[in-house]
Amino acid sequence: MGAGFNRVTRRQFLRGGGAVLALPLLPSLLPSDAFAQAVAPKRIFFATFDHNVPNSKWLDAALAVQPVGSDGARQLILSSHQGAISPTMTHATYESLKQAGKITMARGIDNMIMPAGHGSFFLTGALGVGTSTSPLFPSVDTIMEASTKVYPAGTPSYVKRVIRCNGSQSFQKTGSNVVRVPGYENPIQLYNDLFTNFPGGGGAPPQPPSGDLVLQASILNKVFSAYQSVRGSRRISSTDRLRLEEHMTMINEVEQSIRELIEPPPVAACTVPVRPTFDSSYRQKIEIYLKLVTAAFKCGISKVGTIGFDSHGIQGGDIPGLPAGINLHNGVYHSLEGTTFTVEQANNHYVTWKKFHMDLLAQHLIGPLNVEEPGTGRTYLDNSMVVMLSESGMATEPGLHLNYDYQPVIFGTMGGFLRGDRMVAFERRVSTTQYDNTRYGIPYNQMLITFLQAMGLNNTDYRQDGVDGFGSYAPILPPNYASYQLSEYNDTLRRVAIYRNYYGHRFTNPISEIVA
Amino acid sequence: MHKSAAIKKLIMILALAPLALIYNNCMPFRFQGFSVAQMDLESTELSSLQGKTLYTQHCSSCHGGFEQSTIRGKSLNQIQWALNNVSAMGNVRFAISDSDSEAIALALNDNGAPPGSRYQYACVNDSFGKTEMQRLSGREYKNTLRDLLARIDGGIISDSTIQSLLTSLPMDVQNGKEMTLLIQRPHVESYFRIAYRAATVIASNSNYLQQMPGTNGCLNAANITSSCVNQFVRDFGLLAFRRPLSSSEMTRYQGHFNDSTLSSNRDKIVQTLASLMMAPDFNYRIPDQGTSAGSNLLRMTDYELASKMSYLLTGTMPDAALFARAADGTLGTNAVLDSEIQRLLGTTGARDMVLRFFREWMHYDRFDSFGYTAEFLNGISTTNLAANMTREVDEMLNHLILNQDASFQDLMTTRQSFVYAGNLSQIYGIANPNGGVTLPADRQGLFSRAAFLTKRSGNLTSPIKRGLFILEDVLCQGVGAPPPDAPGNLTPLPPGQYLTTRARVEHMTQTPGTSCLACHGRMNPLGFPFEGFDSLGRVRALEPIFNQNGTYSGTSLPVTTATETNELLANPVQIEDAIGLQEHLGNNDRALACMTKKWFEYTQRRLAANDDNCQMNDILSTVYGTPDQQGSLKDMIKQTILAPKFRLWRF
Repeated sequence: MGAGFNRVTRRQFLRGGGAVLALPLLPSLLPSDAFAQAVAPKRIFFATFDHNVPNSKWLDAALAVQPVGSDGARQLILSSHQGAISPTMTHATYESLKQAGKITMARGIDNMIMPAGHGSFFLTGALGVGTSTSPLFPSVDTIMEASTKVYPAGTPSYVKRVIRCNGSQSFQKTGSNVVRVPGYENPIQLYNDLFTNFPGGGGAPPQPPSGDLVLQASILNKVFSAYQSVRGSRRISSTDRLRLEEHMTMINEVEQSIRELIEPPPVAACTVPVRPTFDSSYRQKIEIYLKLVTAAFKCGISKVGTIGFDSHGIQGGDIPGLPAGINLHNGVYHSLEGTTFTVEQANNHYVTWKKFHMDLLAQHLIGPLNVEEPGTGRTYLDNSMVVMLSESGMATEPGLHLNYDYQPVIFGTMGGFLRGDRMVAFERRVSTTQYDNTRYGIPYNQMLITFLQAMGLNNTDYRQDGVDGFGSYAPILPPNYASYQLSEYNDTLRRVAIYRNYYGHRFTNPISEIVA
Repeated sequence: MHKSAAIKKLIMILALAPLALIYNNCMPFRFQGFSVAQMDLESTELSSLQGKTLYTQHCSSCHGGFEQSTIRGKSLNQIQWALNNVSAMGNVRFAISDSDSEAIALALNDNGAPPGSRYQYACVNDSFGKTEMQRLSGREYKNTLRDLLARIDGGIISDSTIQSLLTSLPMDVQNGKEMTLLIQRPHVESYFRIAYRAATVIASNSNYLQQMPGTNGCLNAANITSSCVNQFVRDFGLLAFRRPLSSSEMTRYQGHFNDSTLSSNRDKIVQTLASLMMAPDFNYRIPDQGTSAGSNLLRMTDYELASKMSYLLTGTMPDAALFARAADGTLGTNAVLDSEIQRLLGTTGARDMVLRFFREWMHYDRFDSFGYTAEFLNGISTTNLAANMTREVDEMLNHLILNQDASFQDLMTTRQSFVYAGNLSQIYGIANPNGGVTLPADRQGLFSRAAFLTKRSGNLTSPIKRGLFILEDVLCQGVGAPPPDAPGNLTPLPPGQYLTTRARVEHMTQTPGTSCLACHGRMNPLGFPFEGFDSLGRVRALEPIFNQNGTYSGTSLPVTTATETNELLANPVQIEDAIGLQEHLGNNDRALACMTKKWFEYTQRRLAANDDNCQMNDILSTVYGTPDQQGSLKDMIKQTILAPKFRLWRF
């Protein structure tokens, strides 16, 4: 309630007892966090890795010792930690962001479904590619794409609602079917689509104020005032006063979202990038994608982006340091091309692969977004989320895919939506066995709900077929599931039962331990 | 021992307690060791006090505070059994002596009532706790909006946009510890969209404005007078808040209409209506308008009483007749109040209330998927089976409770039912289903209905789930969640080996020395009596044994329903079958107290606390009735409202 209460008190300060102050506010009269009143655009970017390195290559979850929340989670304040988060994140940008409290990590998060075609669930929370069927749920980016809360009515046609780079893990619900949405394979095509019709300079033009919107904002303002009066003058308990304050905070948020439609925040002038040249190298392709996304975010051309890094398509020559002539996934991870790699060797090659991309992300997207966004008092990155998602990688056996205890990393706090500066580790049993049914954490779906709510959506915007929450929570198995091991099937049932027993409240809520 | 002597010794204990605490770091501190035994306190009163202290010291961290302990009423035998068998109690096993156990048992069974009297919750000083304001639940919100708008025109609620918004109203969320209806941002957004839409629909339609209560169509005038605004706010406000607006509230909402930033009458009406339909007194019930009845204690006004009883009994705002009784000041008299309760219990809203209470309590409307094999079903269709089973219990409860003044004992022994569908009648072995029916003698009692027997998907029954239901929901005895590594299924039978489900369950969960025994030793015996019914609810004397692939093995084994349980009384009780168990439950104090607690929690939308015990005892005494006649559930409902505390508000 702390954050919500602060918002109420700030508003009380500005209102002076319910009436909106007509006098101009001097900056010196505002509370220190008054800049937070400015509503900045929200943006989110997903970088997904189909495989990953094991937890031993990441910050040890056991370093999180400070209790947080009510489910036995613990946290580590990242800025207090000396050293790199992972050998894949040694770029100087990451150290700088860590020190500035702009990184959020979570551990002990499990996919509900085993094995689910490994990385395909990143944006759907359900089954995806890798099985013979399409996923049962749309991906979060397509829900954001269709939402008027992300793209209000009147959004200009040149706006690219989702930029999907380097393939796609996006799925869209069309009628009762869910189909894959193709992504860009050619960065030059992306440039053309983004900037050919872009008027340039100022991003999305403001929408003309609507009379109805003004009336709506006025009503909410008055309702807020009525709650304020009841809270202050009626004979109710202190607990009830807190509940009213909570309600008031939400009224305030709804009013703010409407005022944002009436008076969109200024979008900074941006520089349209020059048309890139592309020599077909893998590195250059990724660099162009990331640069274009950065430019599109700064120019207000888009608010949502994705990029997929697929180790299936990586040959040794694409990335320095990888064994020449061998496919990274088939040859190295699964030793299917004649050379046998030990677990440690394979993991080290995946560190190389992942670090290569993390460096590019830091250099061309995360770093360039970490500059001040005019009119907001924060950086573009502060007003956004850049999310790194992946499996948790092999631990003991070559070719192992683990769908639980990921190491998601989030850069930026979406304007304070996240607390930032922490690694939250959820209590879980430790095992080194792949299908050990005693392993469990919290449902991954909560992470997707966190992303959706960060972008301003709520349950009614993303629940599917009347079922609250997001993604699959039940043992919905693919048609070919019988071909999987029985132990996997049992593990799935066990996992779902555990979640339902212990974590029912986590089916519909964001991860409260990382949310402000 | 004389009471004054007992008090004297109590004072001595209290006086010595600080000394004991002071020396706590210097010597082993065991309450019974330092004082009670040495002081030779033999009186019941002080031993009970000792037991309470021991309970707080050793038991409360797991079983809750003493007054609301989950193990109240446990006998010495049960406590000692648990100490020896429940693995989680290993830490306290060696810290509690036999005399300690006796003292704890004495305390847990001491409710201040004379020996031999019926069970009561521990009521201290007629306590009455704080009452929380309640947000309208989703159902209450929808009903209230429907009835409020109907006072203008019944067609408004049919607006497709309003209907769409109501359909997507977020589900109510409970936080697990309390049933308080939490508020979330989606609620606030929905309230806003719905109120705004309804207001614009009304303000844009001259017919609706013409019918606005108390205005005589004055809102259609080009120049709306202040008198018109006054009437509009006063009468619509009364309906929206379910009470007259105070003078400051009148001023507030008149000001919303006269807002100088708004130029059109339409916008003024929209703003006033929408803000009234989003106001705290619309979305919450805040009965703080009454007169003082003590420190931070108010006696509700008749309007507030009308609102509270209307939401409890019908799930919506008071109707015109009830408003009239509040307005004329007669609702406070018991005769009128009783008459209004009786009237409201005849409405469809009350039928809905009965079903909601029982569904929330016994969740007989929730089913696993019907994963039966075709061979097991033997031609019985599962199409609409869940709905048919639920409807049967719904109609039965409504008929028995609202039409026949049934008691809990009646529910536990009834054979009356309502069967409409062919698949359900096949399960029951009755012909030509057409509603009301007397079921065969072997299906006596509520829990012998299919809706309660199909607790598990698949051909096998689950005595565990059936027993857990009786233990946790009917007797209010918590056993907690299973450990994460507990197996979810029975171990498959080796080919060629045949055992009944009961035998497999006993072998797997009740083997002496295993950690499973502690909980399963309590729940399984309450499920075994129902082994006379298969997993679809059909009566059986033999259990067909199925192979792992679901095919019939060709072997059937006789089922055993007889059992012994420690959960009903202080001493073990022999149960013959499901009929015997339910007959016993029908007049069992723990079951009746549990029902009372569930009902009280339903009325309060929160879990019961220590301060509620006196109120629950008031209801419980009605439930117990007389030695010759158990109280009816209808009486339980009525007594809840008639009780003086019903109209008190502590803040």
